[in-house]
Formats: sequence, C-alpha cells, structure tokens
Amino acid sequence: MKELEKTKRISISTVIFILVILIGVLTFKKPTNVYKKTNSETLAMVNTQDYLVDYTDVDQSNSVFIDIRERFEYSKGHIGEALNMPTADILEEQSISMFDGLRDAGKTIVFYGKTPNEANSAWMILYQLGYENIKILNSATQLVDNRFEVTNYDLEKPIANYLEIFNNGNLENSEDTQVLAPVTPKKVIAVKKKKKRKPEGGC
Amino acid sequence: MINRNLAKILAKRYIILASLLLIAALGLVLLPAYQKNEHVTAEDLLAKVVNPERYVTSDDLAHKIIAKDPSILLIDLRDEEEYADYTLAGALNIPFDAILNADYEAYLNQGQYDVVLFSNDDFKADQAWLILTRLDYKNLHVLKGGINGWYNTILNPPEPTENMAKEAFERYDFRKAAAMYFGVGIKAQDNEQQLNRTPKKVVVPVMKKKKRKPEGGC
Repeated sequence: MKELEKTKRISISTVIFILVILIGVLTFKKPTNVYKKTNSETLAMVNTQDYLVDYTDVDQSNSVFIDIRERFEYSKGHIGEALNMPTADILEEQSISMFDGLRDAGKTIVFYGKTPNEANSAWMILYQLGYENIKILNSATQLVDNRFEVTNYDLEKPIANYLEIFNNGNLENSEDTQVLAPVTPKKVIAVKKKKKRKPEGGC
Repeated sequence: MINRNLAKILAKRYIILASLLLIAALGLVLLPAYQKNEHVTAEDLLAKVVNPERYVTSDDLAHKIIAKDPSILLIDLRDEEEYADYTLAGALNIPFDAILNADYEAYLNQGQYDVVLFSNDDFKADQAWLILTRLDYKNLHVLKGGINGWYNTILNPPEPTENMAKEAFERYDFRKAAAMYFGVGIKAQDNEQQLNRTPKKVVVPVMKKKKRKPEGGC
C-alpha cells in the first residue's frame, strides 16, 4: 500500500510540473517596445548634435513634419503639411506602425514643438527604440498674427555677459562653496556606520 | 479488454510522463533568448515624460536654497569652465558627457536627496534626466529654464507693471531679495560672509551625528 501511495504522489507531482511549464509558456508576453540603443549609445548620439536640423535644411520632398504639441495648439496653426501627434501618443500602436512605415520608406521624420526642448523627449524615446530617421527641428515656433512663424533657436546658449550682474570678483568665492558641497553626501555614509556602533553601545 | 488496455497504458505511465517532462525541459532550454527591457520600459518612461512633475521652477529652488533645505542636491551639467565661472550655491559639477560614469553614480542614484539637474537651458538637463530615469534612478528633477531661466527670473527679474496682480509684486520683491542673497550687487565683504555661511550648511549633518552618538551609548 505504501508503495502505491508513493508512486501516486510521483505521478501527480509530475503532471502538475508539466502543467506549470505549459501555463508559463502560454502566458508568456513579449514586451511590445524594446530598446535598441543602450544608454551610452544614446548619450553619444545626444552629444553629436546630428539629430538637430534647421528649417532651411529640411529636404521637403523626403521628410514628414510631425507636430508634437497638443491638438489644440496644432489646430491654431502649424507648419504646412505637418501631422499632429502629441508626445503622449507616440507609443500608441497606430503611431508605431506609422513610424515603421516611414522608416521603411526611407523618409526623414522631423519633430517640432514650441521649442526644441519640447520635442526632445519624444525624439529621445523613439531614438532609443531604434528609429534613427527622426530629427528635431532646431527652431522655435510661434503664432504671430494668425501666421505660424518658424524662427531660429539658439539651443543651450548661455545669456551673454550674465556674470556682469555680480559686478565684482564673486566667482572664486562661489567656486569655494561648491568644493564644500560635494562633501555632504559622503558624510551621509558615515551615518550608516554609526548605526553599526549602536548595538555595541547598547551592550 | 478495456481493463487490459488500461492496465497497459498505466504500466507505461511513468515512461510517458518522464518523456513529457523531458520534452518540456528541452523546450525551455531551446527558448529563444528574448530581448528584455532592463529597468524602465518605454511606456513607463513616456508616462514619466508626460508628467510635468519633474520640473522645478527657479522660484521654488530659490526658496529651498535660502531655507537651506538639506534635502536638495544640485547638479550642474555644464562643462567645468562654465561651472567655474558661475553656478548655483552648493551645486556640484557633473559634466553632461560624464553622467554615466561610475564615479558619479553615488550622487545620482540615491534615495536621500532630491537631485536637481540643470544646464544652460533645460534641454541638456532634460536629456540627462531621460537617460538616468531609464536606469530607474529616483528623485531626479530638472530646473525649468536652467541657468538662463535662473538669470531671467531670480538674478534679474522683470519689473512688474502697474496693472499686474498683487502676487506679481510680491514675487518680484522675493526675487529681488533672493538676488541680493545670491550676491547680486553686494560688496566683496558681504561675499565673504556668504562664503562663511555656506560651510554652515555642511556642518548641520555633522551636528546631527553627534546627537545620535550619545543616544547609541545610552
């Protein structure tokens, strides 16, 4: 009898095991959007500035403008043949299939918003997903007297002479303060060490 | 007859089960190495991008710096020269190219401070934010407008016109006072004072530690 029970248990557990494997395989879900670029590749690309394009340099026949602002903004005015796709929608199924189609057709996609800053996030996410044919329009756009104007934009350009406001040799001082600041996080680590000492003190 | 057939199958049931298990195991071994998203998926990243919570306005930041809020950690993403020329009080310099360096990971990837990234504008800072957020670093923020915005709002605020609301005047007064605090138009003497003030900020955590020591010693 004991022998029989043992064998029964073995067969039951084997069946359960097979079932678990089957369920695992059947419920396996593939991630829809997979990063094709690593972080360091993205960082290298971001540093090249190759992804920025001026309005005059855009090859109109082979590119598609995409307005990543909200629908309302788009409805008020936009670049001639631009399509609208708010940043929040870029990973929708329709959008992804559209990007795939444009990539396969060898077309360049140009993102624009109020400033390049606004278009940046959408571009970066799609670049990391492997869409290398997307660029950012290096321009500020604005609605002036019901006319949609595209003006050049100086990206990350510091304001000229912004230091003049201090009028005096404040610079070295401010540098000294920064040298002190990085020490703070290091000290936090020391706090953890003291926690170890606590039980010792409690004896 | 039925009984005999059943008995035959039952006799072989271990072989059948064992072979099934073997097939399943082989199948698992041969499964294609599927591509996995490390850390944050693109969808989650997009959700975080759409959320404007990552931006810190320069007014909020000025408040925090003046109140000596110990929970903020300012990171200057510009290059060393620009950093040496001018930076926000207490900021440390991590050039944009170096944000993925292992040396700086301890500063960027921690849960104790609210990290505020800034560059000249918020374009670079936003890119750094995206790259680091994809690594699932927490508590990252971006200074809206960057140093340029800081200059235009805090250091050199536009004067409100007569027809503006009372809040605009209050904000202007605050900004003017803040600009003074940050050293706009003060003599060299005051600057030395300011220099002395900042080290105190560093002393604060040290004092806390002293308090803990006796507690432990009981």
